[in-house]
Amino acid sequence: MKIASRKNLLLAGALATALAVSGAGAYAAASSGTGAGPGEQAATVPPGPERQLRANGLNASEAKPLFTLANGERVGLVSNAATKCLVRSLAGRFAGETCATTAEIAEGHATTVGDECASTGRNLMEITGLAPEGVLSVRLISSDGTSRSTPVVSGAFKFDGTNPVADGPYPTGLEWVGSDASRVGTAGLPVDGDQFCLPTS
Amino acid sequence: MRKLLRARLTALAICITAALVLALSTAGAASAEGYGGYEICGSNCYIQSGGAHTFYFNEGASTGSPYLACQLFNSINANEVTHGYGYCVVYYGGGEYVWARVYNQSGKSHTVDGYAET
Repeated sequence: MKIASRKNLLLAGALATALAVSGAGAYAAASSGTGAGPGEQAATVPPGPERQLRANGLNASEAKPLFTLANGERVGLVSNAATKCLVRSLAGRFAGETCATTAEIAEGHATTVGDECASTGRNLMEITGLAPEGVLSVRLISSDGTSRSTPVVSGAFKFDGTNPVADGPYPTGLEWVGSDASRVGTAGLPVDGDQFCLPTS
Repeated sequence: MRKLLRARLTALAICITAALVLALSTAGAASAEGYGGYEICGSNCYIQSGGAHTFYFNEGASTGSPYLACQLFNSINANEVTHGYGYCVVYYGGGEYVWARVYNQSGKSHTVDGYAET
C-alpha cells in the first residue's frame, strides 16, 4: 500500500513537471506571436545573457553555423515556428543574439550594428541581420550615394567594415534585392544618423 | 603542552581554510546591476550603471522598437557598442573595469531599462 502511494506521488510529480514544462513552452510561443516589441518580449523572462533566446524558448547551442565576421565572431541561426534568432559567439563563448518574428523581419527590424570604437582597437563595424522571404541579396546604402552588396545565406546577411570617420560617409540603410536583381524593399538601420561610435565621457 | 599546540595549529588551519574558501567564492561570484527604468529623451540621452565594474555583459530594453545602443566602455581600452531595435546587447571580454550605458537614439522619449553583469 505504501509503495503504491509513493508510486502515485511520483507519477503525479512527473505529470506536474511535464505540464509546467509544456506550459512554459506554450507561453513562450504565445508571447512571441503577440506582436510585442523585442524589448517587451524579452521582458517576459529575467534579464541576463541569452534573454531573447530564453523568451522564445530557443537555445544557442542548437544554432546552425552560417558565417564568421571580421571581428572573429561566429554567427549561427536557430529558429522555431514563430521566431528566428541570429546567435553570435566568440571563442566558443556566447556573444549576443538578434531575434525577430516574420513580421519584424519584414519591417526590417532584425538588423544589428556592432561597433568596436576604442582608440586601441581595429575600429571594426559589423552589420548583421535577417532578410525578408524571397530576398537574395542586400545592398548597404551610404550617405554619399555609394552602395555595396552581400548575398543572403539561409535568410541572414552580414557586412564587415570599419566605423565611419568623422564627417565622412556613413551607412544609412538597406535595400532588399530579389531574384531578378531588382529592389523589392528597403529598411533603415537602428542608428540615428552617424552616431555609430559613442562617447566615453 | 603538545596537545595544546596541536589544538591551536588545527584551529589555525581551519581558520585559514575558511578564509580561503570565502575569498575564492567571493572572487568567483558574478555580480549584476539593473539600472535605469525611467523615461529618457530620444536625442542620444542615456541611462548608466552606478559604477564601473568588470562587466562583460550589458543589455538594454524598451517598449516599442526605438533605436537603442548598448555600450561598455572606459577611458582607456574599451568602447564596445551595439545598436538594435527595442533591445540591444553588448559584450566586452577585456576583463577591465567598464561603465555600462544604454542610449535612446530614436528621437522620441522612451522608458529604458539596463542590466549589466560581471
